[in-house]
Amino acid sequence: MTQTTYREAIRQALLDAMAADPSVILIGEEVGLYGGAYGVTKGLIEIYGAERVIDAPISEAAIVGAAIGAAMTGLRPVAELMYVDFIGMTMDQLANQAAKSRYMFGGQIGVPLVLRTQGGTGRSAAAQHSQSLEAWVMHTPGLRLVMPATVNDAYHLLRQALTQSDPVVFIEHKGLYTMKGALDVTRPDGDWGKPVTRRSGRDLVIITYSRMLHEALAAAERLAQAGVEAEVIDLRCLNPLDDAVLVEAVRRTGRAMVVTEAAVTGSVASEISARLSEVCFDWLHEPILRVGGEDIPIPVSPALERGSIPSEALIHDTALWLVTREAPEWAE
Amino acid sequence: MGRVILRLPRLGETMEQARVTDWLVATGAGFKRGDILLEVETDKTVVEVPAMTDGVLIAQLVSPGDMVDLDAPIAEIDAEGAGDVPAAKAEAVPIAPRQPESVPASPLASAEAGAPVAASPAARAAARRAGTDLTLIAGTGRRGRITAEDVAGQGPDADCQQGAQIALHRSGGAGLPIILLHGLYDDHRGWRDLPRRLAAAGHAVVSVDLPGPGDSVDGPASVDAAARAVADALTAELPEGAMRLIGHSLGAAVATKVAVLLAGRIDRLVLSAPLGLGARIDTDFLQGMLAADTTAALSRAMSRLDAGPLSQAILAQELARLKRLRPVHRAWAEALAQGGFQQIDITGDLARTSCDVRVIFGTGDRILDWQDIANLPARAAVHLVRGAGHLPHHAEPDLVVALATTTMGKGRADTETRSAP
Amino acid sequence: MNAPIAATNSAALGRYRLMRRIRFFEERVGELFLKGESAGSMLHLSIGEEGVVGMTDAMRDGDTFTTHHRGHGIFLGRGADPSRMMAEIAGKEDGYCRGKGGSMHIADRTLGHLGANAIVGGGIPHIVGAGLTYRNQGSGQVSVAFFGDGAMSQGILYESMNMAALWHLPVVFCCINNQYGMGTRVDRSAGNRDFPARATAFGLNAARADGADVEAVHDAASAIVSAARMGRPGFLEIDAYRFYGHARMDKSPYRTAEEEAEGRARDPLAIASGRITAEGLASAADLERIDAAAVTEMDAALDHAIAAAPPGLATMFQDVYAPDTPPPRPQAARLNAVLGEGGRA
Repeated sequence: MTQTTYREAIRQALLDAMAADPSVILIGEEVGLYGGAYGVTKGLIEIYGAERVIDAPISEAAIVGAAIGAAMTGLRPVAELMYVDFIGMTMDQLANQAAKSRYMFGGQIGVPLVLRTQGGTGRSAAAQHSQSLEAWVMHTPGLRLVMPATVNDAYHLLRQALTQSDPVVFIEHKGLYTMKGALDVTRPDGDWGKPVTRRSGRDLVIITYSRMLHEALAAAERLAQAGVEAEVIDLRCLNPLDDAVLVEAVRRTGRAMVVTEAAVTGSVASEISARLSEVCFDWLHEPILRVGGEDIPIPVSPALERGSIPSEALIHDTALWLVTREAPEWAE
Repeated sequence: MGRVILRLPRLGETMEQARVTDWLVATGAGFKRGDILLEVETDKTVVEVPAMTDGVLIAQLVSPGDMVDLDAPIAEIDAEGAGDVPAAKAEAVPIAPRQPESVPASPLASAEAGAPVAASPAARAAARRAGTDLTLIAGTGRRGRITAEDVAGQGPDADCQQGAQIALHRSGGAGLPIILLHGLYDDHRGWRDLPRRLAAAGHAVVSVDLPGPGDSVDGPASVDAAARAVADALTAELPEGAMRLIGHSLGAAVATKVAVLLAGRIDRLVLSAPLGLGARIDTDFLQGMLAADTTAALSRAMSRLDAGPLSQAILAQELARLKRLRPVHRAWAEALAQGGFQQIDITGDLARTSCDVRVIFGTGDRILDWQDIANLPARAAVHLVRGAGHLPHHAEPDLVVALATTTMGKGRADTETRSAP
Repeated sequence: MNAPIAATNSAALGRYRLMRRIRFFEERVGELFLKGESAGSMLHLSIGEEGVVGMTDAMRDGDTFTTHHRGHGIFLGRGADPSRMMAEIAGKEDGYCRGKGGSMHIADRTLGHLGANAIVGGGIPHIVGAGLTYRNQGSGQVSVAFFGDGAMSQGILYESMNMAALWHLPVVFCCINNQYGMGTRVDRSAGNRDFPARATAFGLNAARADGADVEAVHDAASAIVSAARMGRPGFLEIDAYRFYGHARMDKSPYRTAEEEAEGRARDPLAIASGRITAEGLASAADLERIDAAAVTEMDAALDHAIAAAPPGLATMFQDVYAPDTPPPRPQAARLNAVLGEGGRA
């Protein structure tokens, strides 16, 4: 067990995976000499060479397309998309090609690639470099989707992604790269596809993922001071997603909120809350709440940016409102 | 204001028509929301038809003695606000400029009008399991929604933890557990926000339903039997460690006997208007609660508690609950008092316990006599609340929280002084 | 390397035979549709484009390829079994893709077919990745992307050609220019119709061949593919004419009867048979025997496709993800968990 950063954990996972499996290659913009826009692949080209750490031209569609072809023919490519906001450039390759090849071709041709990218707010990067677009991916059958929130998950989920036979979209959070935490390379936080309960509580369940986990945990701490015990569950994997843990917790507490940084309409939170509403209906004391980003493009002003996404305070106040009917100051 | 026609609402499951017995509001007179407009007699009982909005009675369309069919017009009123529809079914008269909405003003109204009932999914599931009719329950939840707890208050609920025959409602954290025991005619919900406040102070809170009312299965109307059942349930729920008991009235008597049974584990008794210290008890209250057949009668009986005004919706909810539990309550009332004399004595039990005892009494209590505190053991700390009635813990909630949560030494120091009336 | 050649060892005769089989196959596909037995109506026939056999014949075992939506002839050229192809086009269980892909999404890993594609240009970048694999593994394989003139207007082609040239990949971009992107003739979609010049600009080894002359295509393709195998990626434009409409054999209101007559006059089959008999490689009677065998084969493929069993409904949920990983949850199971009286989810 060592203390390291989220960024370093991902780099370590790539390093270890490339050492363990010579078919693993990296391809993307600035992944080689530059070391990755956020420094995740720093130094890997010196270790594994330009044949395996491939600096690609600014051609996002062809980067993903090439990764697909490499995956079809026996390599295990890790393509890097510098910002998830650029996913639009790759969407045909991702959604029509990678996601559907196995199915269209009757199971003959799998596409075991990992698309690493990062999203989210926190660096005042404005509307085209700050989005949370996981719902676009989650809506596409055939794509697995992972969003690690902890240092240990950053390592293990990436290692696990590199054992999958299907395309995995691995979305990091730009606001977490410098976060420190414990890494135990021998012990994952949980199994692939299974949410992990990060905090137990009796009064409500807060279901979230990626950076919002940390906002939710902070809110839960403060809620406890007010006598409200919130359970906090980290989804980790959005596809596959075994919802048994969620169902048990929501049935136990009868109150739940799903928190996402993404624009809330049509979001992961919408899907999760709908799913749980269906199967937990008889146990619900209150509607399952979605707490998400405002339905606006991300503004550049730090104040506006912060105000457009859920905060610890918003999660705290909303949870308190949900459980105790104590309306927050900003209500009405 | 908008002119609407009131129609006779469904006031009972089998009711098809009713006889008008009396108009309580005269033509041309104004009325407030909650006022009784008229009384009608069904095949079972006399029922009041309340207004659910402020307004003015324009015309009485039926007279005392008339047999009126369900849904037939009974009055024309000028109602405050287009959206606030009276409990009695309303519809626009042709000249009305605005169509009143059919949104019910409260779950009660909606139930009576056959409109949708607002209830949480969990409440519906609980009602389905228990065979409870949701239309008979008034919701206490958000915007009047019927909660699972509301349903649980109507009968046995599989969701709460029952040790022996006792239902325990647990909340709060991992701190020193505080056990709440309610009084006669009450149930675990009668503590208002006390459980939440104790939980906020870090305590585990267990709110008990005594046998009969609340969630607990009916048991013998005996303080000793109830104390044994509660002690068993608490032992099962909390196998080890100290705990504190807060009891009100009958619940205070039960708490005292639990403290004897679980000697060594109970570190403090907080008794609010405890039963069993003296001789007299108010028969009018006991009998009035058993006899109340209308919300007005219930309101009169409950006024002796000096608990402040209660809304029509709460009164209706309480009436429904009390009517359902009437045989249980009658048995308890008979066990507790005969001819105005208490049949329970806890002074011997208090003398036998070694735990900290703190008593709170209202000097305006009309059910029990506050001067019975003279029979308390000398070590008991007493807090008298000037002018408060039989629910002193509602009059001084902060005091009760302090009495229950302060540490031993500090608490004792705080309670050395007795405030005189 | 493909189906056995009937009369002689002549490669030219073999290519004629392949082209004839493609022609009959496509005609049977048209019949399949007219009989109401095809899965859907998205059938794009390659009649008139059989000269592509010159390219498929220049490839080796182990080479891989992707195709566009008009790829039946290419796949047959690489050795496909017409019965399984026809069954797939009919959406049957024993089709190449178990009835999941159909005409536009046919593939066979064992024959190197990495997939036909219904997105114009969609399969092109995959050969770049395959090229990376072969380069890194030093396997000597080549990967070829087949696409139409329509894809010459797609950006992904240029991203891919740039990468292929940049990384010296063993790949070939093969444009079958049938003059039409759906209803738009190439002179209405391209400002400069010199497609090889575009490839040259990216640093590729580029050529154009007359698609009506399969031997000319083969000569050009052989040079391009050989160079690619040595790490010099290439581009080949096969100049052809789409005899029929965009889909099936529909009318083509966007072009004149005179133009069609002129285009169909340059029939790759007629040119090949004329050369074979003129050069004495085979007699007219020999060719008739080849043709008759092809008719029999394709009739059998058609009959097989019609008679074959459709896939079971439960197969719908197979192959969305790899076996032994969490499968999609069928809607009925979800609804049953919510609405069913039998128990909880």
